[in-house]
Amino acid sequence: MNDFLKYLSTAPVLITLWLSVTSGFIMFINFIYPDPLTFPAF
Amino acid sequence: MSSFLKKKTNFFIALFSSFFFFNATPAMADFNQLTPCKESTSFQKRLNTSIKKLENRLKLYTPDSKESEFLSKEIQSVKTRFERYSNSNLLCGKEGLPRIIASGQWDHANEFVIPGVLFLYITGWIGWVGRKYLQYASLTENVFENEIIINVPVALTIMNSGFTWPIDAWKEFVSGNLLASDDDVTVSPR
Repeated sequence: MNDFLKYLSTAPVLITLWLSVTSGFIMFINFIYPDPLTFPAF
Repeated sequence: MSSFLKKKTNFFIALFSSFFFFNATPAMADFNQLTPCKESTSFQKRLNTSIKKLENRLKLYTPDSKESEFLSKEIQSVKTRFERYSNSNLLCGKEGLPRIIASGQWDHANEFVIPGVLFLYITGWIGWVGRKYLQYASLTENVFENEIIINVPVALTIMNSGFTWPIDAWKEFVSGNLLASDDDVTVSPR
């Protein structure tokens, strides 16, 4: 388990996970609020 | 304050003030060539033609088919998009396309200034916490190992503490820790 966590903590694996989460988040935002051209005023 | 730091301070003040003052001229600009999208006839025309195109495609399918469901959704989203753009402060060109005003004036701040500042804030956050992590790693026993195998709990604490980075950076700049002294920077022989 410890070795597996160490593997997950290596930079290439970590950046793959991190950017997947980030791009998924951006896709989600664009799905619920499509075509933003201006910063929305709430 | 040493003279080298003073020079750098003056440079930064000049740099930052130039951002504000060079903006002053276009900020007063009038946009005679542009009309608010709400009043633009060509903008309205664009809405009608895009809806018509989709409706013509819609005619090709039976009402309960998957394709017609998709196309009706598409029509709805086109309508909401045009409605949102016409309800906003956006200005349209003669051809009916909305334009982003990037001159820095306040009534169009939500088009460029606010997203721009947000971008700088987020990228600054990323850079600041990255720098902080490297500083942390350089103090540990295995410097390179800590750069390749990330210490995730430490990295997360650093990331979460980074939201005050503009204040932290200013504090470090004033205390002289932000910039390396000229003696620490290697220069090729000349």
